[in-house]
Amino acid sequence: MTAPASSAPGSVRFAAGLTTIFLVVAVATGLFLIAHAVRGAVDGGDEVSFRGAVRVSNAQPAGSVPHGVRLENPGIADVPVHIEDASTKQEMVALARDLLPVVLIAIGLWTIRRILRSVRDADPFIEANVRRLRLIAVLLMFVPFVVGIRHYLDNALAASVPRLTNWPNGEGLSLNGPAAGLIVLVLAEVFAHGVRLREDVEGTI
Amino acid sequence: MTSISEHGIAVHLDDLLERRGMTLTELADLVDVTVVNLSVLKNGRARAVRFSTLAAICRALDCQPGELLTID
Repeated sequence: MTAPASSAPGSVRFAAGLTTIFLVVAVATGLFLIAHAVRGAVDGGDEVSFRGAVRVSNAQPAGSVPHGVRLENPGIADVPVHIEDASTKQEMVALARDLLPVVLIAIGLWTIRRILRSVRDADPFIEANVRRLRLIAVLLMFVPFVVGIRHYLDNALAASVPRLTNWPNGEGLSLNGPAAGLIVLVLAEVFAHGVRLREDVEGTI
Repeated sequence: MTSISEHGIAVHLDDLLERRGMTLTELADLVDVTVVNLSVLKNGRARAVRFSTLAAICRALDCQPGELLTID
């Protein structure tokens, strides 16, 4: 049983519209990254950037440090590095690093869009939505691994630069993604229970 | 015509409607249940019936639940 799309609450339609916009932006970004990398690889002379944590001693802030406040020395500074006239290999490594999160975000947005469509059709408690929520939970739990892969690729870029030695590894893992993934996983199980309840009620006059 | 559900419950709605000279649509208006749902019940495809619905149908058809539903 589905309801007409026009009868869906405004909030659902707003969320669906917003998700679609973000999805279009994600896809466009991905296509742009690919086109940019291919053009750079073909034409040459393109610039590739990455960020790395650099250990610094005697760090000085932009403003003054009040009494009772001290800076940690040696400290860690986040430094952008630009490789001018990047090679094809460096272009491809940078492309892989930038494309990975965009692809995963696009998958997540597409899945959210499908869920919202079922809500719009007044039919959200279906097995497909349980699977979609579990997929989103897995994507969120994989965030630290994606960050780790990006750091690995950043280090690969740093290693490809002659005389840029002793480049430190990336920072520690964040638990935000896994925590959010856990919450979504719980929501998926709530939906699974809703599917079972719906099956019980379906066919009741 | 009597319909038997997968649970072996026989629904005698057709017989009762014929006896009362009532159509399914008229019954639907009286008991505030859609024609579609009444058709599901009539054809033995319902999985459960609420007491409120059963009571409304029996009042409209002037019958007892045991006349509407029997078990084989």
